[in-house]
Order: sequence, then C-alpha cells, then structure tokens
Amino acid sequence: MRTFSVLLAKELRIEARSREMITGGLLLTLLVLVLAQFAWRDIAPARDVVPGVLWIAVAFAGTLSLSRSLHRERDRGTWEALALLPVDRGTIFLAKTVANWLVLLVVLAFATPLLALLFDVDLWTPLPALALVFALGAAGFSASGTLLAASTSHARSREVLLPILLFPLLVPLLMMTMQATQRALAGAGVLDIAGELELLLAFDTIFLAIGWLAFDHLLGE
Amino acid sequence: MTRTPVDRALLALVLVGGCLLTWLALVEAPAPVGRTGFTAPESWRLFFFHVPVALTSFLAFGLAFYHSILYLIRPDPPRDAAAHAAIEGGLVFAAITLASGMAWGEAEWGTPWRWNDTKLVLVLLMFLIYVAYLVLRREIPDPERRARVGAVYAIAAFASVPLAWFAQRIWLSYHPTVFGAEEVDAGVVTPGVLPLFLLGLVVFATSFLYLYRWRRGLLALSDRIDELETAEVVPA
Repeated sequence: MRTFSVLLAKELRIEARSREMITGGLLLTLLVLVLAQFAWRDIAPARDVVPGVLWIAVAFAGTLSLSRSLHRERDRGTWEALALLPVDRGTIFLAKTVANWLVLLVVLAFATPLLALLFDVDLWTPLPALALVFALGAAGFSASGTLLAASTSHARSREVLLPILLFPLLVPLLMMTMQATQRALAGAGVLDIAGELELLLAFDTIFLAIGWLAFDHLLGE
Repeated sequence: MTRTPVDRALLALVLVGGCLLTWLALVEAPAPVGRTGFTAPESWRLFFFHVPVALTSFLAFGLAFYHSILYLIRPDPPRDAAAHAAIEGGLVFAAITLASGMAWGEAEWGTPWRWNDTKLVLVLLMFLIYVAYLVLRREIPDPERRARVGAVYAIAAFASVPLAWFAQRIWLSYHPTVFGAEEVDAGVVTPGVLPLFLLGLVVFATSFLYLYRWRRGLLALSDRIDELETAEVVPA
C-alpha cells in the first residue's frame, strides 16, 4: 500500500510539473466540443448529442494523455528504472492507472459543465448518476488504456498504433457510458441505470485484473 | 511442410463432412416450424453454416487465449506461433461469419447491415480487435517482446468474445436466440435438426484445426529461420 502511494505520488508529481497530459487533454476536449457544437447545434435536440460528443471528446483526449503517461517513460529512459524497481509490477500498473484515472476525471469535470453550457443542458438533477457513470467509465478507460499504452511503447509507430488498438476495445465501454449518460440526462436515477453500471463495473474489473496480472510481462527485462 | 496422417485424416473428415452437411442442410433439413416471423423462411438453411462458423471463430480465439496464458507462464516460441496461427484462423472464420450473416440479412431483413443490431456490431468489433493484433505484431521488431506483448493483447482481446457470443441476450438484437430461448417462439432450432447443427460444428471446427496446424507449422518455421539468420551475424 505504501509502495502504491509512493508510486502514485510520483506520477502525480510528474504530471503537476509538466502538465503535458492535462493541458493537452483539456485543449483537445475543448476543440472537439467547439467543432461538435458547430456540427450538431441545429440538427438534433441538444440532449441527444451531448453524451456522444462528450465521450468522443474524452476518447480522443484520453488516448492522447494515456500515450504520454507511458511513452514518456520510454523517451526519458526511465522505463528501465521502472522495470528495476524491487516492487510488484502489478502495483506499478495500478498506480499508473489511478493517476490516469484522475487525469481523465479532471478532463471530464472540465468538459461536462462546458458542454452543458454550449448545449444548454441541466446538470444538477442528474449529477449523482452522472458522477457514477464518469467514475466507472473513466476507470475502465484508464485501465485498458494504460495496459495498451504499455504494450505499444516499444512499437515503431506507437502514436498511431495506440488508438487502432484501443478504440475497438473501448467500444463496449463507450456504448455503456454513452447510453448511461443519455439516460441520466433524460432524468433516470442511479437505480434506473444499474444495468449499465454493472456492465461498466464488469469491464473495469476485467481490465484491472488483466493489467495487474500481465504488467510484469509488458515491463519486461 | 510435411503432412502427417493426422492432417490427412482431418482433411478427409472436412471434405466428406462438408459434402454431407451441404446436402443435408440444403435439401434434407425440414422447413422451419414453430416460428412464423421469417420473411425468407428458406434462407434459414444458412444457419447450419453461419452459426458453426461463428462458433468456430470464437473457439479459435479461445485457443489463442489459452496459448497466450501458457506463453506468459512459461515463454516458449512455439506457443506464440500457436496463438498467432489460432488468431489468423479465427479471423478467417470471423470474416466468413460476417459475410454469410450479411447474405442472410439481405434475404431476411432486406438489408445486409443493421447498426442497431448489437451482436452484428460486436462481432465486427471482435474482428477489428483481432486485426489490430496482427498490426501490433508487425510493429514490434524485437521477437521476444513481440511475443510477450502479443500474448498480453490476445488475453485482453478475448474479452470481446463472450461479449459478442451472448450479445443478443443482453442488448437489442435481431439475431434469433438459438438455444435456451426464453419464449419458445423465439427459438429456431427444432429438436430434429440439432444433430445437423452439431455436424456443422464438427466440420467447421475440423477445417479450422486443419488450417491452424498448417499455419502453426509455417509460423514456427519462419521464426526458426529468423533466429538462424540473426545468429549468423554474431561471429562464432
């Protein structure tokens, strides 16, 4: 547990100093939202496009920040140092995943009010349900993304490869988050979307378990 | 590649079983009963090909999952070749599944593709996920790391298989639920045709096995060639 908190603190400290994940993620989200606003404002009722726009923006921004989280270890030569740490590699995976999860939550916390403003949607009533969907959705995104970012870190064209690998794998998760967000905005409470939340939880569990068990092999040497 | 007696036996089983299956499914199988919802009742005969092929692709990915886990437990290049071969085979069968499903959709639904049929979309995704496996392998130059990363990816990718398999029981889908449907009317299989369905499964699983054994041998051979070529560079 102590190892975990030290590793997590290290991830967050790097991010606090460089801010490359948060800044890039926020800017990209903002740009996707503005583009979406032009694309759909007059076509569909706002409430119908908000979930899709939000999660597509998060998918792009999230992929960008996730790739930085592991690829920078390789670029700065700290990958080997990480591999040499005398700690359980599963813990390294969990620390990275939690750090990326927090970054995604910051992006979501920034994007959602902005989106509500641009598309004129009420956020206060569905807030508890939305918060749960965001927390579980971001956790699954972060777990699967961290796993794949580690897989692609030694590949030749890793920046292109990561979304090619990650997006198909994420579709079940995005399907659930979009559907749950849609229903929450339409007034469904936490209990009404329990089905979606259960599936999100299943997705999170699967990828946390695989990452925790397999990270040893990805770190290597 | 030399063919062993086992390979010959598999091939014979595929050819004989395939002919038998084609004749039984297209000519002998009864017209569907107990369900009137079909617009093109005769096209249901595709079921005896489409479903066993789909199940074979699921089994192939399952085999890759199995070999990948064993590879991570004890790294062994032939295991990596086995997982790779199983995924290639599975992709062939998944492609046939999609194509035959679209042919049936054209006859039954009047359209080859329905985006709101979750099962259809998830099978396509499963296909793309495993195509990405092949892309990933090409991009990692170091063979040992390629095998390790490939194994981890194949394990993660397998999550898509049960999801695609059981999709119509969870989400909206126009796929008929075949076995154990809750309403009798929704099930297609009448007891008399279960043996025929099982024959289809045997035929396609065997043809997969035949291709898989062939491909696994080839991949192992090409790994061996790479190994010898790099070994030559090092001065003795």
